[in-house]
Amino acid sequence: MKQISKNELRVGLFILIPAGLLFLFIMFKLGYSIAGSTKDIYLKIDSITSVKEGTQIMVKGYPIGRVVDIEPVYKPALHFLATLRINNEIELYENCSAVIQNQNIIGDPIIELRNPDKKGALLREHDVIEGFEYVNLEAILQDVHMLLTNLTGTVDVVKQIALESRHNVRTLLADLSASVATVNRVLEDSQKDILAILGSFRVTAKTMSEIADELKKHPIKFLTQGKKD
Amino acid sequence: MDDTLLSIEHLSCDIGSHDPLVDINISLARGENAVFFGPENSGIETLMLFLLDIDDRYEGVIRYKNTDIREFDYIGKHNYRREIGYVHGMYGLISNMSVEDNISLPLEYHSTMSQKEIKRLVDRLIYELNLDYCKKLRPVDLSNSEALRTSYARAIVMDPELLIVKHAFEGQSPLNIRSFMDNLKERASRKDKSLIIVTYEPEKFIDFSDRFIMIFNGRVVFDGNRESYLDSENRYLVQYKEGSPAGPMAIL
Amino acid sequence: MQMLLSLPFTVGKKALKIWAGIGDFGRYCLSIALSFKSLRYLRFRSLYVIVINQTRFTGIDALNFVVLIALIIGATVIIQATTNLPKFGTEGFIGNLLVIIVARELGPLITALIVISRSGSAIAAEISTQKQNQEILSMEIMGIDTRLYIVFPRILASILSIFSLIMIFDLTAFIGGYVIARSTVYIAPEAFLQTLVDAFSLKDLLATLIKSIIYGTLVPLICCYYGFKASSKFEVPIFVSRAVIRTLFTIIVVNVVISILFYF
Repeated sequence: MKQISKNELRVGLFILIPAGLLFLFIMFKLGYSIAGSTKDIYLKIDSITSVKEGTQIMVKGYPIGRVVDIEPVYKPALHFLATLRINNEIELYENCSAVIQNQNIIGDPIIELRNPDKKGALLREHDVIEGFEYVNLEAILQDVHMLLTNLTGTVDVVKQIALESRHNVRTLLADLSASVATVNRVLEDSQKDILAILGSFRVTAKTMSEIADELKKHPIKFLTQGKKD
Repeated sequence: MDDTLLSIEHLSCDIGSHDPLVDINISLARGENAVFFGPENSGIETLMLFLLDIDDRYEGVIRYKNTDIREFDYIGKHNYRREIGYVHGMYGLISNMSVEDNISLPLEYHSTMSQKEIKRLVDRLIYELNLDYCKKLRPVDLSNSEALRTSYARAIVMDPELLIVKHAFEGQSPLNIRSFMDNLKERASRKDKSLIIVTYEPEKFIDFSDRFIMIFNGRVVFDGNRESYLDSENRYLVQYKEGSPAGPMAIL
Repeated sequence: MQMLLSLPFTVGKKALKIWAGIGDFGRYCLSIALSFKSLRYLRFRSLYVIVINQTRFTGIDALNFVVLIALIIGATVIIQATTNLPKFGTEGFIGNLLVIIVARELGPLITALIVISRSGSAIAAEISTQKQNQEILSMEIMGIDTRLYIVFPRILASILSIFSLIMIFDLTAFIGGYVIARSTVYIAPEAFLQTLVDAFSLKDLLATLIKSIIYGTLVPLICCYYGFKASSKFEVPIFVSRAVIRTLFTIIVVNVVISILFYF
């Protein structure tokens, strides 16, 4: 009897544990949670300069949780996984973005979660948020510094281009002067011809005027006689 | 009131796989005890197969409480078998069960008794048959007599109307089966229970059997009471008792 | 030439034999179905011990072996995946890969194979030995429906055992796969778990449950059938071997059919 009892216990555990796991899995798949009012999600970040344990998490300025843990991940390249414990009642979607930003110029950074315009599946326990912006004072200064460096570089490049193109500009101007002189010469050369043409036009006009007068005076004679010669 | 428990009418069988039977007519009243005996291949084995409803390829009728056993439906067959206890020479104990589990098996399967009641009844039988010291053992660990007593306890635990004991005593030490024989004798004396003993040694049961039936070559060659058995000049019976090769039976 | 001429006869004879075998197995299944009629006359307590003992033997006693095989299988799948897939960006695939290969196919199939080789052969051997010792006959004469008393609790125990073993196999293979995967890429345990949960759909779960029930029914059913078949001690090993081989074949065919129905 004792043997049976021991067997019964072992068999009971053998059946109940997998059945329990199965039940939990089904509940999980159906969207139920046994974790209570909060859920943990992960945020992938490159640097932990501004995020630390306790960093507040907000949605539209309303606090919904805090960072509870940060773990380094070594592979394939060093990055970090921050565990965000957030209020379960806030509806967030799995393609939401996390923006790390300063509340003001000297304030602590916060993580602002933003729902996407196009809502996908609901964000669930242990989901990982991949895409995020990284905005803080240090980063801004870094960015400005980078911008100035880039600007200096650009000016240098422009300067170099200008130096290299000076000779070309000069040649261009000389060519331009030569072209103008050529045009002037052409104009000068053609002046006489233009006068001759204009004179010829004038003679032609005079002849035409005589023909017109003759026609007015003796139209029949003009028509029947034909040419004078 | 008709007191016939079992009646076999014009039972014949002639199929190759079994020993043949030719027009057997036997009836057994309630409370009557009968010893079936005969040489090997006489047909008793075949008769028992039909009686226990293991095979039904026979002509004639076997009636139990005036109902043809071939007419029983599934449940009727189930109930018929419940009312028969059977002990045989191979004992048929369930090898992965202990002695007490083997004995309580029919009760656990059929009866509405509580576990406590079953245990009380089984313990009583174990005590009566002197099996207390080995009740936790499995059949493989039992001696012949212990296996026989366990098998007998299992057969009678449901208190059947008819008990069939077939070649169960051969190769047993009389001293070791004393408790069993006492219990069997007591059961044989009951007026409401019947007993069929199939044996090669009918004289061992002379004290508690009132009917002796000898079968040879598929026929009943002797059917009589204790006195007839002792005094009859039946040639078959005489040859059998004397164990002589001379006589009407050709023994190979 | 004579061999060639006798070929159609041999094939025909074999086909008829297979057909007769299927018919016989069908009648056997029908007799089990009909034996359920006596369920109302039966006290379940007599089956309870058999169910417990069979579950212990089929399930708990096989646990060590199943866990070991599952760890190896899970690890092997991931070793193959990480050596043949790109080095980066495989984090999300590890869970999917384990679910597709292990949970959907290998888990149920290997579990069934282990159960067949351990318990199926034991069931066939036990029943045929019981038959030779006239234990089955004794039970029948006691009014015990041996189909119900022997086959039914074993089916029940096998379903429970195979279901639990598949669950444990899958879980262990996931752990084995994860341990190996961590040597090449870092995946947070929670994220890995999440991937698994996402990849393992309710359809996969349903397929696993159906497989547990079908395998759990078929393994003892076929093994008991061959156990009952042996008519002499000489035939015991023949029928035990036949039980194992035919159950294996049936289970593999059924696995393919279920996979086609669910995933094709």
